[in-house]
Amino acid sequence: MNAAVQVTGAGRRYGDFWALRDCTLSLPSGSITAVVGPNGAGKTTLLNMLVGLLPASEGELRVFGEPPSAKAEFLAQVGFLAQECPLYKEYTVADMLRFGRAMNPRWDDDLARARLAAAKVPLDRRAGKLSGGQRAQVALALAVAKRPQLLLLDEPLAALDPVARRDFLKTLLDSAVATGMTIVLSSHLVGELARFCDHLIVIRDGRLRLVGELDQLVGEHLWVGGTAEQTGRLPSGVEVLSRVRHERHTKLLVRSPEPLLSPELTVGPVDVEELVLAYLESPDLGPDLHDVSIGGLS
Amino acid sequence: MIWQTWRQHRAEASVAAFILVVVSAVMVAVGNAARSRAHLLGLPGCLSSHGDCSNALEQMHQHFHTIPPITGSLIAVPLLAGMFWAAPLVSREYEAGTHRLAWTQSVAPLRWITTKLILIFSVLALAALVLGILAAWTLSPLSPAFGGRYNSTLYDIQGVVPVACMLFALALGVATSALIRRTIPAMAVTLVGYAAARIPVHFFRAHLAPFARYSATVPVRALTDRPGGSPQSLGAATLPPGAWVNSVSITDSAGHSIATGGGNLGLLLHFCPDAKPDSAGNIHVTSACQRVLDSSTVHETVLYHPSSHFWLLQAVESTLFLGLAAVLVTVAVLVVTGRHPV
Repeated sequence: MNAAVQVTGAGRRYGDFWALRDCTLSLPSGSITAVVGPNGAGKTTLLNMLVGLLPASEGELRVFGEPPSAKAEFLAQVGFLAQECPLYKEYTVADMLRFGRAMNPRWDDDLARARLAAAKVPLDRRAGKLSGGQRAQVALALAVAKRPQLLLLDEPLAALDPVARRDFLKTLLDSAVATGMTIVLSSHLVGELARFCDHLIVIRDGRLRLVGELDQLVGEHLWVGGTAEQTGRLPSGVEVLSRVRHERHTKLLVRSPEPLLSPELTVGPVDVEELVLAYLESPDLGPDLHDVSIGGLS
Repeated sequence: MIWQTWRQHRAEASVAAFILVVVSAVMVAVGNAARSRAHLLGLPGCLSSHGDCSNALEQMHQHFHTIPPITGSLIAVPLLAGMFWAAPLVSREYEAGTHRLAWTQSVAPLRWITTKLILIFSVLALAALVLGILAAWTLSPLSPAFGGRYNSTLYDIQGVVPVACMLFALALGVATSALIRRTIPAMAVTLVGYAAARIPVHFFRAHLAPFARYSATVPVRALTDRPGGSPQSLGAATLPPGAWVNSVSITDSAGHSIATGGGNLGLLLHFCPDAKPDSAGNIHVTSACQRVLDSSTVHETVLYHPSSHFWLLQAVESTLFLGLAAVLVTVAVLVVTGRHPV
């Protein structure tokens, strides 16, 4: 499969501060990727670099083989829904559609109107008077009706209530299915995205902590339980991400490229939220093991 | 982009159109009134025959003395356009976050900024041109009564200088808007910057084009005999009407310069160094001194701009400010297209 997004060693620096560094990833065409991390992790920096709003300080980015730029030909194939869904407050929703039509040669007006009708957004209301959910729906309709091949969404769910979130994701998924576009969306929450995405990027403190296909990542990670002795004899190649000690019993979250078959250990699957949390919590991967102690045992 | 520019700026455009219509109507009315009054006083004929029109001019001044301060307020028009239209142009996109919306559509930021600038600048330059030409027409019957059209309250609002000022103020507003990214500070900087650029012009404007020179050798008597006169008044009286005198210098036949201040005092003291004012301030001219005065001549040189230099001076000043405007526009375009951190 062709890579829609190919990033190699990219970073962005503000003075001495690296907002994002050593970012390497590849996302296949047609994939739906969740970029997850706490606020200030570098998610917005990554998305702004991909859409060409922000030049990289180092490394290389390619979107459909092209470096992001401010050229019209590049911008035409990338849709972008910026943080907080900016719209022109004094414009009516109909004006926003007119804006989309005026600014995009491949504009699909029927699609935009159908999306807004489905979301029950009144066309004559000023954008500044819309609810958060309606605002997000208008911003999404604008981004989708541009008919981009890659759609980037920066924290689109942040300001939405649970019902609006569900509606928004439904609209997004319908559009993805209808157009086959590649989607990258960032969030500081993972729950609702898990069912929806096929790729996952976990990002913290300006570094990528985890990148890959969601099913594969979930398959590679396991909860392993046993006594301290038993859990200390893990096969080589198995990486321990976190450890929970409970009296004699120790529970580990491990990453194992091979299936872990051991008669003396209890092995269980991990869900996406646990997985993301482990990578967000561990200060660093590998040697600096995140150690959680429960039950008074030091 | 044209629709977007219109939709985004139609409020400003409506206000500008309203101001243009009202001001134009007032100027046409004032211009007509001034013309008929001047005609009634026989001013046009009097001025073209180089006669003494001081009475008629005085009456014109009496009748229309409120007009120049009012029309003079038009010098604020470019500044207002710069502050309220240009200074928010880029910064309000940053403030609302809509730059991320505007610059990620299928329109390159370069086209976004150039389309906006071309449309807004040309509309407002045209408006300034209309006002400038109209002001020149309105003020032409009035300017002889108000110190000529070089008088800076009249000069700044006439001809092509208002157009250059308009473009400069807009360019300054857009450049600060793009650099500062915040509307209120950009407006403040535009205000200060515009004043800082325009005020000094009043001090060096006369030097923007070479002066015309009037020089003559005249008997001292011709100067001293003018009742209540001073050496300057001779030069000014012999110059064509509407001339803008920059300097008058008087030298004796040996080429020594003579102080021209204090009426004829400098002249008297130059030729009669022994003459001393008495306690009442009068100078007793001795007969020996009178003989010297009667037999001496002085050389008078006046540097001035005749009214025919009006368009030359306007053109030079306009070119200067159009050049500044071009630099500032370049800065604005580079900042917007430079993809600096957003």
